[in-house]
Order: sequence, then C-alpha cells, then structure tokens
Amino acid sequence: MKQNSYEMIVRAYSADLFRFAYWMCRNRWQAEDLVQETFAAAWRARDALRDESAAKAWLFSILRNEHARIYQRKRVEITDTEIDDIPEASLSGHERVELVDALNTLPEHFREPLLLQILGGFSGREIAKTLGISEQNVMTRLTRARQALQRMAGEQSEYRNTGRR
Amino acid sequence: MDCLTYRRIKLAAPQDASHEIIVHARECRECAAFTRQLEAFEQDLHTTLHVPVSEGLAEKIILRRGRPQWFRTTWLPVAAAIVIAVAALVTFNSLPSHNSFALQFVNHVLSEPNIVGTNVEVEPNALKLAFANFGGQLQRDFGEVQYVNQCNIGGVDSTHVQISTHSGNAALLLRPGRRASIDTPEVHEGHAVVVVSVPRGSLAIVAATPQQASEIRSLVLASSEFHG
Repeated sequence: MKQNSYEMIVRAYSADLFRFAYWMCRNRWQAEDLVQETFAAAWRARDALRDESAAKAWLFSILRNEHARIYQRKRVEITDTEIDDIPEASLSGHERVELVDALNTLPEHFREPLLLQILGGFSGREIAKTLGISEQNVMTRLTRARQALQRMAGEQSEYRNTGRR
Repeated sequence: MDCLTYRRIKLAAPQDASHEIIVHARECRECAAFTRQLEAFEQDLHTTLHVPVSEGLAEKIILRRGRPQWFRTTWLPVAAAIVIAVAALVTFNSLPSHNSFALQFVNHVLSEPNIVGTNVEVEPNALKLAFANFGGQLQRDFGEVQYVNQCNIGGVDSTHVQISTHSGNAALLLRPGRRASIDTPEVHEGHAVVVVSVPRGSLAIVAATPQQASEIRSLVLASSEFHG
C-alpha cells in the first residue's frame, strides 16, 4: 500500500471505523484512540494487504483485534454512552434514551454483528468471515439482536403497536 | 415462503429484497405491517448508531502515519521530562546562590549611599508598618528608623528600612519571594550581611561589621514575630 492509497483508505473508512469503535467501547476518546491505533497497525502491516478492495474488512478486523488487545485485556472500564453523542434526527429524547440503553445492554455477541452490518455495510457472509463463525450463526444473531432491541427499546414506544410515523 | 421465514429473514437482513420476500410482503398484510414497523425501527437504529465523527479525525490519522508505536506511547512522558529538566536547569541557574543572594542586598545598599546615616522624618510607626506588611508583628522598638522606602532588589519590590540601633546602623531589607537564611555574616564590598528567612520571603540585615549584623539580627528576632 502506498501513501496515496493509505490516505484514500483513511478518508474512506475512518468514519465507519470510528462509529464501530464508539459502539464497541462507548466512549468518544477511546474510540478515536482505537481508530488511530487501527490505522497505525494497518500501516505497519500494509504489506499484508494484497487486495485493496478488501481493505475495509481488513481494517474492521484490525480494529476488533486492537479493541481486544487494548481494552479487553486491560479491562478498561466502559462508560455508558452519552445521550448527547447521539444524533437527534426524528427520535424524541425519550426514544433515544430507550434505544441507547437497549444498545448498551445488548450482549456483545449480538451487538457486534449488528454493528458490522449497519455501520460496516457487510453481508452476512462477510460478517461470518470477520467473526470466524458460520453465516447461519450470523443471521441468527442478527435476528435475535433486532428482536432484543425491539423488545428492550420498543416496549414503551409505538413500534409494536402502530408501526408509527 | 411462510410468515415465520419471512420475518426471520427481514430481522436478519432488513434490506433483503429478493423476489420471494417482495412477493410475500405483497400477499400478506400482517407481514407488510410487520415490515413497516421494522423499517421505522431500522431507521431509528441507523440514526442512533451514526454518531457524529470527531472533527479532523482522518487528517489526524494521516499525520500520524508511520510514526512508530514506541514514539506514540512514550513521546509525551519523554517530552514532559525534557521540559521539566530544562525548566529545572533554567530555574537553578537563574536562582542566585546564597553568596550572590547576600550580595544583592549589599549592592542595593551601595546603590543608595546618600541615605546611609541620613536622618529624615519618617512616620513613627514606620517599622511596625513595614514589618506588618511583611507578615511580621513588631513587639517592641529596637531602634530609630531613619529611612523607609520601597525599592527594587533583585527585580523584586522590597522594603528598605534604614535603622539606628544601640548596636549601630543597619539596613533592613524585606524582600518577598525567595526565602533564605544566612546566619553567619558574609562580608561583601566592606559590608556585612545576614539574612533571616521569614514566611513571606527574606529579611536581610546589612551593617558595617559582622558583629553589628549579628547583634542587630538578634535584636530583630527578639523584637518581632513573623507569620505566613
């Protein structure tokens, strides 16, 4: 990977990686550090990337490894997501709190494939490869993740009742 | 496709738009309603997960490219250590030694030759006030004040009191800041100086002889108390 390619990759994927990191560690500063460490590690291991079209999955894998190395081994205390970090869009404050709480409560083995799907845009097969599990297992986890989120966040909202909006 | 399969597929991959999925949604009103609910939920989920990205993140990463990890993890403490070392060196070098500290009081007295031995009218409580302004309490007079002035000693606004005691004349120089103690009189330029450390700084006594300086020091200590 040459300097120009590296810069293009940074510009293309740093935002997705940041959001993924954010929901992994639920802290903006730790997320930023994690993304920086990820790209630093990627640069050091740049010769391992034969096909630049696979850069995105490669970077997400590095980030997962860095997260495990830095935060899980050191047992860094995870703080809850700050509600102010979450874009307001069409959600009411109450709904945002419900959804953020639900995401924070969601077990990691459900949350991670969901984040990879939504933030990474990966297919079930790609997620399976990244997580080292079967595609069927991924689809099951995604189904259960959404069910759990709807159950936790939606119990008091209108999703279940009216389909809302 | 049955409803259960349809819903499982939609929950796992809401964007799935295969022919079977589309057909089932068209034919099953309940699953169509389920899909609408799921789409609303999915929209909120996307919005919630798309937190704003730190400004300039990509540029920061690019700027850091190729910097070795040891540098990133150690540069800050190393830089801090260098700054502290340089600051300590500069401070140490800029701090006068005891010798030069004593000398600056003598130099100040030498810079004002006309006031030594002169008798001008001063406020009766001048010494008491001067000591009070320096955190001291004068318990009894130990001499006659001949001159009081605010002077610059070593770059610091200080109080110069010229006093006549039964042990002789002396300059009392009350310099805030650095606290130093010189009990054994040092002689510079024909003047003897002792320095008493007090909470707010240093009180120097400059007299004609070491004996006078020591005696007047004893008078000062016996007649006053200094607090922070």
